[in-house]
Formats: sequence, structure tokens, C-alpha cells
Amino acid sequence: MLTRGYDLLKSTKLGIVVGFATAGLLMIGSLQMNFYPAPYAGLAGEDIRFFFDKPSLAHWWFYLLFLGLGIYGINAFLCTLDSVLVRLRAGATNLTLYGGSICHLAFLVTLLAHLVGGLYTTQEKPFTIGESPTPFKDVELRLAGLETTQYPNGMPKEVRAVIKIKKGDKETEQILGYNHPVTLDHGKEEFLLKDYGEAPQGVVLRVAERSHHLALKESLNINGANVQAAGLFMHPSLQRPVVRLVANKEGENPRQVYVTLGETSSKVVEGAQVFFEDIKVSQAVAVGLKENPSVPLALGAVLLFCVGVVLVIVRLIKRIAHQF
Amino acid sequence: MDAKSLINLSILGYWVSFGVYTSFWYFGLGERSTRGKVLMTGLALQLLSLMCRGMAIEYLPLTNKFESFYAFSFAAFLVLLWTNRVESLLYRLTLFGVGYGFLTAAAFWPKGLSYPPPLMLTIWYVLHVPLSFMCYALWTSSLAAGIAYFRSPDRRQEMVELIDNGFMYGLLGFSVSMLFGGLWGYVAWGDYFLWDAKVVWSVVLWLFYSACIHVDHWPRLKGYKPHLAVAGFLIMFFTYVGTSFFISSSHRF
Repeated sequence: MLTRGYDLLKSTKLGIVVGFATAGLLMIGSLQMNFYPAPYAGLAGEDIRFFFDKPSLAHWWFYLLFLGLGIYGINAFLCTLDSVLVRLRAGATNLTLYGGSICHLAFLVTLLAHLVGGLYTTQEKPFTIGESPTPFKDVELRLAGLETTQYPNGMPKEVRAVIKIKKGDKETEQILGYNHPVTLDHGKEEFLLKDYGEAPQGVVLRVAERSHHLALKESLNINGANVQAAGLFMHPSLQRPVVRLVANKEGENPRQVYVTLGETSSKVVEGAQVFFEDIKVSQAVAVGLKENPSVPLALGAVLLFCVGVVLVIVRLIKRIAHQF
Repeated sequence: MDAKSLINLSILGYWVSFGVYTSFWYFGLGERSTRGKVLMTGLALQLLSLMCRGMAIEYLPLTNKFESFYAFSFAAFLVLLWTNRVESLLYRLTLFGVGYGFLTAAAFWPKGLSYPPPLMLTIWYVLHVPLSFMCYALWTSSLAAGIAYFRSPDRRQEMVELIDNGFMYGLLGFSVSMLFGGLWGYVAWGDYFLWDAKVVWSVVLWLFYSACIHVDHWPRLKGYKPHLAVAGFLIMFFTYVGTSFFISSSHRF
């Protein structure tokens, strides 16, 4: 019984059947996702958790596909092992004979990478990196330069943002752009360029005829109170930008005042007339973070495929040369 | 020469090559060296025309439907030239017919200047797309051999060899092309795989032809290679054209 099961699992016929079946299931899945999209709302990237977190009969093709690829993986492993053992026993030392087997091995690693990536990839909401350091986990990111080029019709062509990454005392530099992500941890963490331009970094307040440049969250002293530029609002529903000031004085409750940009919209804060004069902007990039623990595995699969394909090609060339 | 003049020159090249290829319907019936010369003339003109477009946009000219169809027809004619020794008329005309169909379809799309969007500007795109087109053309050769197999009983062995070559070289090239595509996906979107129609159908193609090249291990199935070649072409056609016209995909070209 066990032997028959093993023979079935390592049969090439099973591999062929499962190969066609998985191709067919993917076709069905693709068409279903396109023509009946409602059950797939929220499915993104390479995610496969979606199908398990939201089980549905509509996903039947995926469950069968998952099972099919599992069988395919086992089958490919056993077939490869079998053929390699046969060749080794026969004393085959020509490396090109093992090209196909290496491709099979790469296929197995690819399946594993898709499993790991599909289950554990996460994506963060986009955030801005400006000229002042932005903390992220155990590093600090800072934009040190931004260059852009355009086509004659004004369409953006290239973006080259210099990102300084500080970890402890060590600072390194990476270039961020379209098709050029900033990567950390052997490519597992990837910052992708989402947008670029200028972002507000601070405000200019005039208090008692003197201008003060404040970064957001920075404070100044007005008549003994610590007044912080706590927030800047530039929502389209507002006619002009508004800064939120929060005044803190020892022994008193914090007070907040909203001041609109312009000469005619001053407010009294802690007994002083405060004007919101200007907004300080600086270059910035918006990035999205993707964490995919399967990247090293996928790169391993790429490497194996390359080796396997090269060996197969060498073998084919030898065969063609032999024919002539 | 400015970009506009180069584009105009490339459009002229398109129409002249179109004329040369049209004559192949006549010369393709003739002897090997004549039909080879006609094909080479068409290919040279097409290559020059594509190069003019490339110089105009300073990039690989695969940025819109016109260039895509035009380039695919180039790949199909290149494979036809490679297999020029094949004397099966049905094989030649089927492969040529597919290439000519795409060449004709290209005429219906805008031929003006279009710059590649920033996400196309990567070496992975440059490697991925032309290689995919070559593989599509090789699988079209398998289709042509499959059709000729049904209609030419005396050439069956030769046609099976052509089918096998298309399957094998197509899959080899496509595997490498998929690796390039995966690397492009990783640097551009952070994913080497997406639940996107074009990507899913590319995986379908890979799985299908991977199974096809193992069919020799199942003697009873070997006789169905021509059928598989036809089915494979239909899948390839849907992957290439269908995902851009009939279902939604972020890879629409």
C-alpha cells in the first residue's frame, strides 16, 4: 500500500496531470476574480492569507490549487530525487545532465517562497521622509537630496532621491527612485517610492513684531508659556492653512488656539498677538513599506533557475553541435 | 534629426515593411532562397523602423499597442526566417499569417510619439518583454506545426520536432523572462507575484508548457502534442491580448 502510494506520488504522469490541472484552476480563478469580483475585494499583492481568513465557497478553485501545488511540489521533489539517484548510481558525472533537476529544485524553492510570501508579507501605509530624520524601527531615515528629470512633454522620467539611513552611529546612503527601492535586511524590508515633491516642515509665526521659524512639534516661549506648533491643517475644505498652537503653563491646563494663515487672522495667545505668516516647505518623498520575508528564498530560486537553465542550454548546444 | 522626424520615418518604415510582407503571400509559396530574401528585407526594414522609434523616445520602443503588436510580428517573422528550411506550406503560412495578423492589427492603433512611464524604465523591463515575445513566437511556431501535422500526414515527424522545439525553447526562454519579470515586479511594486490577470495567466502559460515538455514520459499522451500546441497558443493569445482587452489587468498595454 505504502509502496503503491509512493510510486503514485513519484510518477511523472501524476506531475503532468497536476501541471495541467493547476494551470486550469488558475485560469478559472483569474476569470472568476475578474467577472465576479465581490468576494475578492481586499485581495492584494501576493497575499494568500485572504483565502483562509475569509473562507468562501467562491474560493474553491484556490483551495484545490493550493492542494494541487502541494502535490506538485511533493511529486517534483520525489521525481527529481529519483532521477538524480538513478544518474548517480549509473556514474553520470556530466554536470549538464543535472540541469533539469536543478530547475525542478528551483521550482520547489519558488513554491516555498510563494507560500512564505503569501502568508507573511505585510504592507504599511505610505509615510513621508523629509530633510529632518524620520524614525523607523531601529533606524532613522533622512532625505539628503532630490533630483528629477522630465520628458519634453512634461511627463516625469526619473526621480533620484538620496536617502541617508542612520543606525546607531553608522550612517549609510541609498538611492530611492522608481524601480529603485531602498532595501533593508537583505531585501526583506523595502521602501518603494510612492510620490515626491515638497512637504510642509514648519511654520513662521510673528509674535510682538518678531518672526519665529518653528518646525512642527517645536515650541517657543510666550510670556512664560511653552507654545507648541502642534499641527498644520491644509485640508481642501479650509480656505487657507491653519496652525494649531498648544500653550502649556505650569500649574494650568493646556490651551489650544487655531490661527489661520494671513495678516488679518491673528489670534491672542498668552496675551500676545500671534500672526501665522508663512509655511516652511522642504523636499520630501512619500514611501510605502513592504516587508516580505520570502525575498531571500525567491532570490535563491532565481539563482538555482539560472544555473539550471544554463546547464540545460549547454546540453542543448552540445546536442545540436553533435548533430552537425 | 528630431523625435518627430524619427517617428515619421518609423511610420514610413512600417508601411514599406507592410508592403514587403504582403508580397510574402506570393513569394512565400516559392523556393527557399527567394522567400528567405523577402523575409530578411521585411525584417531589416522593420528593425530599422523600430530603431527609429527607439531613438525618438531614447528607450526600448515597446510603450504602446502599436509598438507591441509591431514588435510581436517581428518576433514571429524572425522565427519564420529561422525555420525557413521547413517545406510545409501550411506551417509557413500559418506562422506567417499570425505575424501578418498582428502587423495588420498594429495599423489600427495610434503610431505617434509616446514616452515610457517611469516604471518601465528598468533593465528588467527591457529584458522581460522582448524575451516574452520571442517565446510567444516560438509557441506560435508550435501552433503552426500542430496545424500542419493534422493536414500533412507525410510530414508528421518533422512537425512533431518543430512542436517539441517550440515547447522546449519557448519554455526555457519564458522561464528566464519570468525571472526578469519577477525582479521587475520586486523593484517596481515590491511583489514578484501579484493576483493580477496578466501575471496569473503568465503562470498558467508556464505551468501549461512545463507539463507539455514532460508529455514524452507518458506514451499515450505523446500523440496529443499537436492538440496541446493549439491549446497552448490559445492560452498564449489570451495571456498576451486577452488580458489587455477582455479582462482588467494592471499590466494592460
